[in-house]
This record gives sequence, structure tokens and C-alpha cells, in this order.
Amino acid sequence: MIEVKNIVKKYGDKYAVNDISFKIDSGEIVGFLGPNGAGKSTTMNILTGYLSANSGTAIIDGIDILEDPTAAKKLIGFLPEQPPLYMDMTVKEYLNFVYDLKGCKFPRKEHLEEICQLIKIEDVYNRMIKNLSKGYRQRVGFAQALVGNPPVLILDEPTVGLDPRQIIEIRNLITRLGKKHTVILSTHILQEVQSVCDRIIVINKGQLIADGNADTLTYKTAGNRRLVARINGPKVDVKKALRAMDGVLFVDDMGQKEPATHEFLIECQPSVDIRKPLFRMLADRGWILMGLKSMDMSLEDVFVSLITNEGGVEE
Amino acid sequence: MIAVWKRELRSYLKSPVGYVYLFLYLIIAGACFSLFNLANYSSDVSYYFYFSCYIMILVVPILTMKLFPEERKNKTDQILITAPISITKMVLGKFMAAYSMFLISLVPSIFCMGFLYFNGHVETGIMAGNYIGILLVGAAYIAIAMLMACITESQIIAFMMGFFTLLIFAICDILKTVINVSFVSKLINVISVSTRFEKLAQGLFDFSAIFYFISLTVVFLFLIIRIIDKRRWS
Repeated sequence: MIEVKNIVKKYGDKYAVNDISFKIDSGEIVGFLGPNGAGKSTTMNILTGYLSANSGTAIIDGIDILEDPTAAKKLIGFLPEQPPLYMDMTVKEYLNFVYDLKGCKFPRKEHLEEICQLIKIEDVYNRMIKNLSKGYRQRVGFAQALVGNPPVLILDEPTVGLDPRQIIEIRNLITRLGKKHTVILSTHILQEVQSVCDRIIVINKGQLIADGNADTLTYKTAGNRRLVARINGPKVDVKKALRAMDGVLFVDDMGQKEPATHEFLIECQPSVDIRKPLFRMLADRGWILMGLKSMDMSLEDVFVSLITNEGGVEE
Repeated sequence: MIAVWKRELRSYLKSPVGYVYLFLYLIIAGACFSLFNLANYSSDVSYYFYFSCYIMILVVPILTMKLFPEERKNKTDQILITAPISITKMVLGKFMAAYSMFLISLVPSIFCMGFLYFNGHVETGIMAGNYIGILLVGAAYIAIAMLMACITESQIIAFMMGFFTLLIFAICDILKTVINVSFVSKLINVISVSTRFEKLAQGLFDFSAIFYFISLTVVFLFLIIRIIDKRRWS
């Protein structure tokens, strides 16, 4: 559905986006994740035709955005970081303007009513935009992107500045929209991508540093697996036995937590799942496993490690 | 294009800007009409139009100053540029909106001029020449002032730059008498608006003057389109 090819955007001699390429299939909800200033907005602005790339191109549903920008733009609904609202219009006037601007062919009244119901802005339909709260303005911005029913939605930080209840509403809305549209959204909030997106593209300093779903990213970035086991048994023997197991790289004693019970940090190779052999080994020797927890990285750890060590993983 | 035109025109009629423009233009033009025609029992229409050209130096920048700076400040240019219309159509829509306001401001003159035409001695050719002249000058002035608005993000600066640029176009003939250098006077002959307007106002169907005003409008609109497009690349 969307194919981005080697996009480069320079401001002066600084790279805002440096050679980013990816493909997005129809119906996917993809999250652009990255710290502020990483190049998310620039990438989105290039995709929507607001900015031009220095080199590279984007193809939306087979249409090259450089060759036929008008046709490509018809396929995209865009919600920029700051919703592009005219303060001197009512919501009704504004949506009608957008409808005309996009040259829509649907029955006007039904189409706009449907959008207003979906976004829940019917009760402010006849009010001036300048009198609306931030949450409503964001929703009107959302409604604007949906006018014309474009197959691709590009949402630049759609939940910034909203209260927690509104954030949940917008996220639910995005999930619902994802059933009919291909959605790209950018955010620097991790729970957001985790709860909404099928796939995550991590961008930092203008470069794509990771691409995959939450699990693969965690798995690929985490490197060695780490477990913490609480074991009732003689400390020195247990440690020795653990070290002798296949795939175990490192064992650390984390101290006594209960009478005659110690905690051990076990690090093992990523390809090895040590939990079953560990249980059997302890049972054979009469030691008791009091607790076992995985120390796998959360998405947050993954993110921090990705943007700090820059090495990156790609699928 | 129609959508942009409708929006801008509605915005003029809903905000003070449109009325400030209409008020200023009509009160000064009306005063000229009372002073030159009614008070003097004169049916010479040329004063009215001649002065209108000078009033427009002041009032046209009021009309154009918000066209681009406001969009950039509120980031609404994003919806225009990412919409499936070309930049050319967007600029033409804005130009048409400003020009429509200008046409509205000319409506009262029809009554004044009609009054002179039917009660005094006015040649049809001169009347037509004056109207053609002012319609062309209006288009050119709006395009020039729009360019000035397009290159800044501040409405005040847009107004000031529009005002001074139009002033140069309008009064360069006076400068010619002050600076007596052949190169400068040649240059002034090239850009002078008033000599060409006067030709049309005398009822001469001067094709070169008409062509000058139309090309001035087209060139400035083209520059605006190029500047907006260029901004996407830098």
C-alpha cells in the first residue's frame, strides 16, 4: 500500500531524514516511534506531500507522489501535529470546506454526518472552532482527515495534549479505523504503540533503526535472556550446578531472601529456554524452586537501548 | 480553487479586515466624488479613477496582508498543500477572493458614474477606458501585494511591504523628475503604472498597456506559486 524508498531530507547540511525505506501493507497500523526531533514529522510531511524530499520517493497504492501528487494526495488523510483549523469557521463550515477542497463525490450531508458520529463531534457541529477545547479541536482535525474516506491515514502525534480519557477514546478510534484504513501514526509514547499498533518503526536521528512488532523488537534487541530464580538449597552447590547447565553464560548470587533461600540471576544464550531443564535439574537434586521470573526487556528498555547504542536491528 | 475562493471570501466578510478595506476605500473615493464632481458640477470622471488608483496603494495591502501569513501562523497551509489541489489553484483561489472584494468595492462607483453618465457629458470610450484601467490596475496591485504577504509570516510586515512596493510602482514617475539618470528613467518607464493607466483613462485602447497590466499580474502570481513550491524543498 505504501512504499517509501530511500528518502533523504536535508536542512542546510543537517540530515532531518537520512535514507529511510520501508513498506506498509494494506490494513496495517504502524507506529513511528522516536524521540523528539528524530525525523518522524518530517517523514510524514514528505509522505503527504507537504515537504519535498531531497532524494527518494514514496509510492502510495501504486501512485508515485512525485509523478502524480494530486492523485496520491487523494488517497491520504493527514492530521498534522497541530490540527490545521480555521478559527473563524464553525465545525460545519470547516468540514464543508474540506469536502470541497478534496473534491469529494459522496453525498455530502450523509458523509459528513457519518464522520461526525464516528468522531463524536455532533454536539459542537455548529460552534466556532476558536471556542472549542483542545480535545474537540483535535477531534475536528481528525474528522478533517477522514473526509473523502481516504484509504491511508497519517496521524502525527494524535494524542498529544489530551487528557487521559480523551487519549483512550482516540486510541480506540484509531483501532477501529485500522480495520478499514491503513494507518501510520507517530508518537513518542510507548504505551501508545504497544496498545494500538501492529508494527513499530523506530526512528532516531533521521535513520530507521528498527522495524518489527513489539515481540520481535524485544527479542532481537534484548540479546541474552535473563531470569531470576529463587531457590531453596545450599548456596554454593546451587550456583555451581546452575553454571554447569547448557546455555548458561553467567550466574550471579543476589543474596539471601528467605531462610536458606537465595536468589540467582541467570543469564543464558538467546536461543535457549532454560526454564524446563532448570526445573528438572532442581527437582532431581531435591532443591526447591520458590520463584522464577523473566527479566526480559520491556518495550521501554528496548527503545532506550535502541536509541542509545545506535547499532540497531532491522528485519 | 472554488473552495479556497469561497473560504477566503467568507473570511473577509466575517472579519473586520474586509470592512476596514471597504470603509476606507469607499469613504475616500466617495469624498473624491463629492469634491471633484458634485461640488464642482463637473462630469469629468478621470479624477475619481485617478485617485482610486492612489487609494488602492493604501487599501489593497489591507486586503492581501492576511492571505498567507495567517495560514502559516495557524499551520493551516498544511491542509491546503496536502489537499489534492495544485498550489497554482490555491493561489488563484486566494487571488480571486481578494479580487472579488475589490470588485465589491467598485459596485458603489457604478451608481456615481451612472449618475454622471446620464446627467452630464461623459464619453462612453473614456468611461469604458477608466473602468478597464482600474480593473487591470486592481488585479496587478493585488498580485504585487500578495507576493509581499507571501514572503513574510507577519501581517504588519506584509502590509508595510505591500504598501511601499505599490507606492514605488505608482509614484515612480515623480522619482523620474528627481533622479535625472537615463538608466533610471528608462527603468521607470518600464514599470510605471500611472502613465499606462492614463492612456487607458483617455479612452485609448492601448493594447501594450493592457498587456502590461495582465503580464504584471501573471508574473507576480507565478512568483508566488514558485515561492510556495520552493519552500517545500528548503
